[in-house]
Amino acid sequence: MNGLSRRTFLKVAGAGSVGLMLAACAPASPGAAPGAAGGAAANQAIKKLIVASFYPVDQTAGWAGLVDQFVKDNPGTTVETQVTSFNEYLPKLLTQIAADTPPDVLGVENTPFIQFVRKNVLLDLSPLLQTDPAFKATDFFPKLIGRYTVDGKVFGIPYDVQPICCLFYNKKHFDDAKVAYPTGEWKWDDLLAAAQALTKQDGERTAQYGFYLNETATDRNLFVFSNGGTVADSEETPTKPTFDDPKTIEGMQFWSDLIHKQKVSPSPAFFEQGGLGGADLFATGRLSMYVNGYWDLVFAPDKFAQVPFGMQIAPSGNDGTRGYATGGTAYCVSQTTKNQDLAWKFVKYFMGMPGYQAAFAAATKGIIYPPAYIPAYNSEVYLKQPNPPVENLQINGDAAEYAHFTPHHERWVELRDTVIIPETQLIGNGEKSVEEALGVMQTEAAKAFAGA
Amino acid sequence: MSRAARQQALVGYAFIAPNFLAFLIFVAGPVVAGLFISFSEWDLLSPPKWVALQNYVDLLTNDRLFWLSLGHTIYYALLTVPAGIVISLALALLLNQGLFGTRVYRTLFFIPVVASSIAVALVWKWFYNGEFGVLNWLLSWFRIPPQNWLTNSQLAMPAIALTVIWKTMGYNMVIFLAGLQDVPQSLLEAAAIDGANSRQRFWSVTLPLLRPQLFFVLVVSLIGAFQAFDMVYVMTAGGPGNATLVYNYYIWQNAFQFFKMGYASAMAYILFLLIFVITLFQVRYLGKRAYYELG
Repeated sequence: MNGLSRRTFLKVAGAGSVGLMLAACAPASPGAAPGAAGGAAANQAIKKLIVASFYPVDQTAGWAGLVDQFVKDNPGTTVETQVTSFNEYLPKLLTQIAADTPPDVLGVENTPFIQFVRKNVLLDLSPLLQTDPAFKATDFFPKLIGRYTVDGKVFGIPYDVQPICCLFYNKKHFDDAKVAYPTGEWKWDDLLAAAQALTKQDGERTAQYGFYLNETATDRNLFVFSNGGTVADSEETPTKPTFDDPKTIEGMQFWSDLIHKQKVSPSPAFFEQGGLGGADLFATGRLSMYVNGYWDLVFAPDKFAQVPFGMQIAPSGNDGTRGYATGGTAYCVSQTTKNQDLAWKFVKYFMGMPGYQAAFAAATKGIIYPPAYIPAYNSEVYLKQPNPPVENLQINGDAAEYAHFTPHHERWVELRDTVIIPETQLIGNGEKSVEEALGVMQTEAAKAFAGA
Repeated sequence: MSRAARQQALVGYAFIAPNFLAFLIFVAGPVVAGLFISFSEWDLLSPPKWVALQNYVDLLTNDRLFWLSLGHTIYYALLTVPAGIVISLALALLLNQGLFGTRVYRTLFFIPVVASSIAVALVWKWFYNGEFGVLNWLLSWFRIPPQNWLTNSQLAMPAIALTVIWKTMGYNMVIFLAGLQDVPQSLLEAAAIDGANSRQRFWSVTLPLLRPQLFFVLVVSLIGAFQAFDMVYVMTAGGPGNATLVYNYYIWQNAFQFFKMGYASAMAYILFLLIFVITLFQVRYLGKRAYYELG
């Protein structure tokens, strides 16, 4: 055999494998940009920005169009979007931070946000916000930017305004039952009366449910906040839990009664077994009203197209108290970014009017999230969509004034997952009374607050 | 060692090197690192802080969910392991009869083993659905009222266990089948000549000769039960009301939802010790008996 002997070939192959593997494990060249075939000089000219998010970069959210436009407006820039599903996002982000390779711009969900601030991961954006009169802190819904302001410093710019305030209703069901459509003045009793009139039984089976509340956990339950209830003594600086607040108990009791006493609402168990949500039952015409955030409509307008629906602000308590739970995400700049100016420029663009316009232009479903940036929210881009139009789009911003975040406590995520959600499930499936379940929440939360 | 033999050995090492390096980097390294991390408080956002045995003390004395999840895991093991062994052995015995269509059935029973756990969990979730599920529809034939299989805290764990037994029985069945085919026909014939009926032949000849397979399946099934995660993750996420919160799921929550890496590592090491002790016990007291027959 000419050329390489078998033995030499094996040696080379073995060594090559090791070399390849070591090369694969080695960090990428910091200046390398995807698709950049040029030499070192070309690489130096290109500034690369890494943006991490759990929001889908697809045509629904319009992200791809938004990023393309930014790159077009900023020659010599590349943007790498690292999008990970919600469940995988934080583990990946924290791993990047632990490895000292955080993204330049990062989306941080409001609940763990405080930990990112306390651990000095995020850049204080306050000085930057004062440099541009067209993009300042007062351009955002106060409660939303307030959530990302710690000790007077702004560490994140809110993305959207989507409190859990949208009462979606099936107009045909209302017409058939000769019930007047919901109004912005509705209170609990109006909701209950309509739900009773709209619920239809078919033998032992409920053929049509009057109402469903999508987000039920006690710390995000509509009926807790619209009753003036609380889960902690302060949302910003909580020192003790208040699950034993009589108004909280009363609110949860009202919700529980809708399921177990009045039987106008399916138990959350109805959905949990099949991975469905209120929107699915609503789309099939088996649900007359349900409350959730506007995102249900943004992500699946086709589901809503199956029924003649209206949208109204969710009811207040019987004494007129309004309160809506909200989640939300802020976009932040890493303290260690080497591209601070570009990162801030991207955040301004993304959260501001140009980014919103570009995102909408690329959103193929013709519908887009309500922005937290008030000039964009008041613009025709938001208020003239979607097509066909949806009534009362302004309720998202109106409800922001009454928005409630989960308390800014470092162990709240843990408390939610191990106590609040499990105990609420037991109320929902009828295995525990409201007082018993909230008693457990109070006891366990008190332990967590005491650092036990 | 001659020069040629040394060279031959070097080539061999070169060949195992990629795999060995990967093992060192991705398995051995993290395992050793995990031990050190278990003595620290680490949220990934700031450097780990040495806390000595505090995580272990907190787990054993101050965490109700640690004990709850451990109890649920033992319950899960009790539901899945004995029933899983009995069912798969019964299937193997049936398929060992040499009846028509045996090969087809063998393949059919093995399909769940190669199916993705997530897909299986999702399909069974629909079976169990209280409103539209096939299971409640079947029960309605017998006038049994519909049950909320996965959202009732009494039923959720048995429902998951049933899914797992269905998913894994094919694997155990194949092992038992291999064992059954090794049972000498002469012994069975001798027993028959001595007047043993089929039940006596099974208990006195077949089953004792299946001890190695029984031992293997028991060890592997118990280890698998203590590592239960995927079905719980997809089917119930530990609910309702923590009724299906198993140990591995709680480790995952601590690590990747609460970012208590040190705490989760301590949990992982406690689990390792538990599995190690249980397996050691099995090897010591059952292993010898299992292989005695072979000797």
